[in-house]
Amino acid sequence: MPKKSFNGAARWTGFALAIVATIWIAVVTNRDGYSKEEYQQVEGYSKWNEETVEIAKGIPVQDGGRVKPFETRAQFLMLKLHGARKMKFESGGREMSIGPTEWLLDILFRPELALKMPTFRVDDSELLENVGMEVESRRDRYSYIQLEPYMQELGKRAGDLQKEIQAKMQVDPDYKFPAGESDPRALARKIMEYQGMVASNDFSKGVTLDASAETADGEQMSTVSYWVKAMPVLAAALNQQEVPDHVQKLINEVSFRLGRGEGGIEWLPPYEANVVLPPGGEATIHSGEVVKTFEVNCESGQVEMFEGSSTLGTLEEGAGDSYPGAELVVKNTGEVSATLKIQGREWMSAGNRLGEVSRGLDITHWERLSNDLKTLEGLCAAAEGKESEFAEKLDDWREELVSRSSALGEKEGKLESEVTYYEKNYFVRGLVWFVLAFVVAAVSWLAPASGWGRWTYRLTWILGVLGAVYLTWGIVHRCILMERPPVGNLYDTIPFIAGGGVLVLFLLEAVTRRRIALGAAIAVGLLGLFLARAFEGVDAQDHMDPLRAVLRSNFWLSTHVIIITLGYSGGLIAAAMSHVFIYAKAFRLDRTDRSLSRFLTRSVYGLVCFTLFFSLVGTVLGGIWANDSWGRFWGWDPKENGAMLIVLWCLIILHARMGGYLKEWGIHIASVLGAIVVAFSWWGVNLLGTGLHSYGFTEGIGGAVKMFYCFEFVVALGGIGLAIWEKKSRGKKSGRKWPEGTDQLPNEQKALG
Amino acid sequence: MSDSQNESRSTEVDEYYAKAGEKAKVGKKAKGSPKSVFNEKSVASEKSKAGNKAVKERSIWAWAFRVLAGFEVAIICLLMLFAATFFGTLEQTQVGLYQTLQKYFDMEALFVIPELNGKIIPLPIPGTFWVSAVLVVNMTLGGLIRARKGWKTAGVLIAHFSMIFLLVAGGVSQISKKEGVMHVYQGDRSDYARSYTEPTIEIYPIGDKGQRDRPFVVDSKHLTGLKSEDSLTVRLPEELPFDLKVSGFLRSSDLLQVGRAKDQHEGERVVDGFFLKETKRAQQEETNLTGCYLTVLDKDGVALQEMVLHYNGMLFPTPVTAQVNGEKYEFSLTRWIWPMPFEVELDKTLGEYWPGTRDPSWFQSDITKVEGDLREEYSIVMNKPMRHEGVTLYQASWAPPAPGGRPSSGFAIVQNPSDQWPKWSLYIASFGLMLHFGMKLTRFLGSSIPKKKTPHA
Repeated sequence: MPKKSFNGAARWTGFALAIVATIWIAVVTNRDGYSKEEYQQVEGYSKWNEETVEIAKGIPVQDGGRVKPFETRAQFLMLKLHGARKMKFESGGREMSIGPTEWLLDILFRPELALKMPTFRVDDSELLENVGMEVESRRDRYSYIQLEPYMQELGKRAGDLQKEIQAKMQVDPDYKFPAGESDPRALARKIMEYQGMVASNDFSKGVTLDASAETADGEQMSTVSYWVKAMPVLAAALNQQEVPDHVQKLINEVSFRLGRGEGGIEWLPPYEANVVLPPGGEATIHSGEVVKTFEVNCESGQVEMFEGSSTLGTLEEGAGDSYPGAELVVKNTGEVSATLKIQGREWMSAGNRLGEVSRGLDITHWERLSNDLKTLEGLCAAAEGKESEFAEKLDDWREELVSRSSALGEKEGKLESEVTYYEKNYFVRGLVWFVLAFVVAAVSWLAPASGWGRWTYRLTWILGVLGAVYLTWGIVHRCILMERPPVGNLYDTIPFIAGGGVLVLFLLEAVTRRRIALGAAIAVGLLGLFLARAFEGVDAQDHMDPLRAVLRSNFWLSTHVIIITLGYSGGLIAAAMSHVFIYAKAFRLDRTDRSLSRFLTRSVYGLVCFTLFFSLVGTVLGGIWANDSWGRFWGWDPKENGAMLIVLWCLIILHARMGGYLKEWGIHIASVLGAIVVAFSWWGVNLLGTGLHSYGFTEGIGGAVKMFYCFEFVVALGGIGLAIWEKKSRGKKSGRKWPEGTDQLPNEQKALG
Repeated sequence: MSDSQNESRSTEVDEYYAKAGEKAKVGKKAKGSPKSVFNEKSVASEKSKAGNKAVKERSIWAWAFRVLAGFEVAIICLLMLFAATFFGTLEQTQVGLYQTLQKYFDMEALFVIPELNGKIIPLPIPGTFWVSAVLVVNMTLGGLIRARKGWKTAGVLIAHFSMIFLLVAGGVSQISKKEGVMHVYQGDRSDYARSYTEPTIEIYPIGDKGQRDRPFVVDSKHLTGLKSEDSLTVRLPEELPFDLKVSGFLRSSDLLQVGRAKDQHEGERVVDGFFLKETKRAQQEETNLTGCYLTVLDKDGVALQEMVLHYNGMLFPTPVTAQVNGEKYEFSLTRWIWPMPFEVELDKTLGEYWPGTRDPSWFQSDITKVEGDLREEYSIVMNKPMRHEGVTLYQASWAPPAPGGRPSSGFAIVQNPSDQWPKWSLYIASFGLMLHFGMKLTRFLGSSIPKKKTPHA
C-alpha cells in the first residue's frame, strides 16, 4: 500500500510539474518584449506627493478620440516609450520607482529632470551603434540626454529609409519593409512624440523682454499669455502701419514658444464660437489638417451653409446641425442679423490652440486662450516652489477642465470611474488569485483522497472563484466605461476568452467534481490574464479608445463577436483538457483512475461540440454582418478564413469520430492541434497584415505565437508517440491482437461502453 | 480553358442591357443542373430492380451512393477545404485577394498547387468550388437521405440541411452575383455601378454634332483571362463597319511615350509613339492599370488602324478617337459598368472622425432614389444598407471635401439573388445544432453527475 501510494504521488507530482512547465513555457514565450532592468542616475530628483499624484490622475485630457484621465494617457505613453508601467532609477543614492502619472508630471512641469530619466527602451542596440553610440547590451533604456547627441543622425537615417521605402513602393506597390531588420523610424517617431510632450509648457518660459516689465494692472509683459491676449489689438494696430522689427521679433517668439508645444498634451478644450452675421454677411470655418465636425446652432435669423460651391441647406432660427468640412462657409440670407453658436470637438495642445484661435471666428477666443495659458504659466511657476501650492493650483485646473468637459457633454463621474478601474487593477489581482489557486490545486493532487486533499480542493475553489470574480468585475467595469459590449478589439478578446473558458470549466467541474476541470479552469484563467497583461505591454495602445465606424454596432458586437470568441474559448479549453489527457497518460495516472481517460474523452468531445456550435454560429453571423457592411457575405478575408478553419477542424474531428477514424487518442491529438487552429485564427491572421479586418492587425508578438504553435505541435507529436507505444506495449503484454480500427482492448471497450 | 492558351479566339460583343440577361440565364442553368442529375439517378435506380442487368446496375448505383454518402467523402472534402482555406489565406498576403480568389475559389479552378514565398508546396488541392459541390452532394445523400430519421437525429438533419442551403447560397452568389462601386458627389446623381476589377472595352460612335451615341461594349468575361501573348478577335454587330483584335493585354501596365522614356523601352510594340510597359501586379487588383493594343479590322479581317488603350484609374477614361469609313468612334479601356434600375441622388453626406484622429466614427448618406417620377428618400449608414429591387447599396467609403469642393460617398452596389439566404441558413443551423447538442448535453449531464456529493478521489 505505501509503495502504491508513493507511485501515485510521484505520478501526480510529475503531472503537476508538467502543467507548471506548460504554463512556464507560455509565460516565457510572452516575455520576449522585456528588456533588462538598468538603474540610471537622476540627480536632484524628489518624488511628487501622493496628494499631487491623486489630483493629477483625474485631470481630463483628450487622446485617441476620447476624453480620458491624465493617468490613462500617462500609462499608455509610458508603455509606448518605456515599455513598462514603472520607471526605476537612482537619485541621491536611493532607488526610486515612479508610476506613469508622476512621470508625465515630470515631463510637463520638471522637464529638466525628465530629460535625464531612462525613458526610451531600445530593443535593437544596432540602431544606436549605427549612429556612433557606444552601447553595453542589446536591449537597454536610455534617457533623452544620452540619445540627444545622436538624434540628428538617427533622424537622417530614418528619413533616408523612408525615402528608400517609398522609392521601392513606386516599383512594387506591395513592398513591405522586412520585419526583423533594423528600423530607426520607430525610435525616431518615439523621440519626436516625447519632444512634443516635453515642450508642452515651453511657452511658460516667456518671451525675451525685460523681465521687470510689468503693466499698471500687474500683468507680466514677459509672459506669452500677456501677448496672446494683446494679439487682436496688436494685429489691428499693425494693419495700420509697418511692423517694427522688435514687434515682429516678439510675435515670432510667441509663435515659436507655442509652436514648440504643438505636439504636447491635449488638455485645452474647444471654445464655443459666437458669431453674429449682419444681413448678407458671411464667415468661413476652417477645419485645419484634421477632418473635424462642427456643431452649428442658429440662435436667431437664418443662414445658409455652403461647402465650396455646394449648398448644404438652410438653418433657420432654433435649428442646428453638424457639418464636416475643410472649409465651411456660412452666409446670412435673412433680412436681420443672424447669431450662431459654433462648437468644435477637438481638445488641443496650447500650440495647436493658438493656430486654431488665429484662424477662428470669435475674437474673444484670444482672451480665453490667454486665460488658459496664464493658468498653466501659474502652474509651471508653482511647480518650482512649494508642492502644496502646486497641488492646489493643479486641483483648480483639474476642476475647471472637469467642469468644461461636462459642459461639452462628457458624462460626470466617468473620469473618476476610469481612474478607479486602473487603481483596482482587476486583472492583476485576478492573476494573483489564480496563481495561488494553481499552487493549492497542484498540492491537492498529491493526495486527493485524504482529508488534506478535500480541504485543498475547497480552498482551490475559493481562490479560483476569487480570481474569476476579479476577472469578471474587470470586464464589466470596462464595458461600463466603454459603453459597449465587452469585445471590440484584440485585447478585449483575451480576458473575455479567459473568462468564458473559466466559467465553462467551472460548470464542468461543478457537474463532474473530478478536480480536472477545476485545475484546467485555473490554468486557463492564469494564462489568459497573463497574456492580457503582456499583450497590453507590447501593444502599448489604449484599448478603451472608441471604435471605428464599421464596428460601432452594439447588436453585432454583442452577437457575432461574443459568440465567435466563445468559440475560441471552447477550442482552447478542449485543447487544455486534451493536454491533461496526454500528461495523464504520460505519467500513467489513468492506471490509478481507470475512468479518468473516459471522462476526459467525453469532456473533450463535448467541448468540441461547444466549439463547433459557437464558431459556426459566430462565423455565419460575421458573414451576415459583413454582408450589411461591405456588401458580401463571404470574401475569403483572413479573419473570416481563420474562423472557418476552426469550424472545419471541429467538423473533421466529429465526422472522423463518427466514421470511426478517430478514437480516444485521435480525438485528443486532434484537439491539441485544434489549439493551433484557434491560435492561428485568433492571433495568426492578425499578423498577416492583410484583409478588411485591419482594426485587429497587430505586430510584435509573432515570435510568441510561433512558439505556441511549436509547443502544441510537440505535445501532439508526443501524444502520437505515446499512443503508438501504448498500443504496442499493451499488445505485447496481453499477447492479444487488437481489434481493427480501435486503440482499446475488447474488455476495455466494453468497460467504456 | 482557352483563356490560358496561347491562341487566337473569337467572340461576340454584347450591349449593356443584353449582358444582365445573359448572366441571369447562366445562373439559372447552374442552379438547375445538379437537381436534374439526381433525379435521373434515382429513376435509374428504381428501374434497375428488375432483371440481372438491372441488379448489376443497382449494385453500381448502390456502391456510388454508398461512397458519395459516406463519411470518407465528407472527411476528405472537409480536409481539402481546410487545406485550401489555410493556403489561400497565406497566399493572399503575397499575391493579393483577387488572384487568390481566382486560383483557389473560382469555379474555373479545378486543381490548385499552393505556392508560398515563391516555393511550390507539392500538395495538389481540388478547387474549393468543386469540393463544396461534392460536399453538398455528400451531405444531401449521407446527411439527409441516408441518415436515420428520428428525434435523436432531428437536430443533425436540420443542421445538414442548413449547411446545404448555405453552400448553395454561396454557389448561387459565385455564379450570379454582380458587384461594383458608385461614386457620387454631394448634390449629384448617378445611375450606374462600376466594377472594381473587371476590364471592358467601350466603343462609342460619335454623332454628327460630336455627341456620343449608345456604346458597344466588349464583355469583361472575354478580357479577364487574356494574357499578353494572346490575341482576341471581337466580332462586332453588323451596324458597325469593323471588328476588333485585342492583343498585348497587360493586367498592370504604364503607358509611356518612346520619346520621353527611351531608357525604359525594351523592344515593346510602339504605336503612335507610345508603348505599354508591364509593371508589377499589385495585390489590390483595383489599383492595377490595365492596357492593351487594339487593331481595327474591316469585316474581312484586314487591319485598318492600330491604337494603344490604357485604363487611367479614373472615373472617366481617356478615349482614343479613330475614323473608320468616314465615321468617328471613341475607344476606351475601362472598368466594366452596369446600369442600375434606378438613379441615386446624393442629398447630403456626413463623415465624422473621432476628435483628433483619422479614425472614422460615422458615415451617413441621405439619398433620394429616383425611378421615373417616383422619388423616395433613404438614409444609408455603416451597417445599414439600402435594399431595393434586388440591388443593395452600402456605404463603402466617404471622402471629405477638398477646399472649395464637395464631399462624396462611395456606395458598394451588389446584386445577389442569394443575398439573404445565409441569414435563413443561420436560423436553421442554430436551431438544429441547439437541438442536437442540447440532447447530447442532457445525456452527458445525466451520466456525469456523481451520485455522491464528495469530490472524486
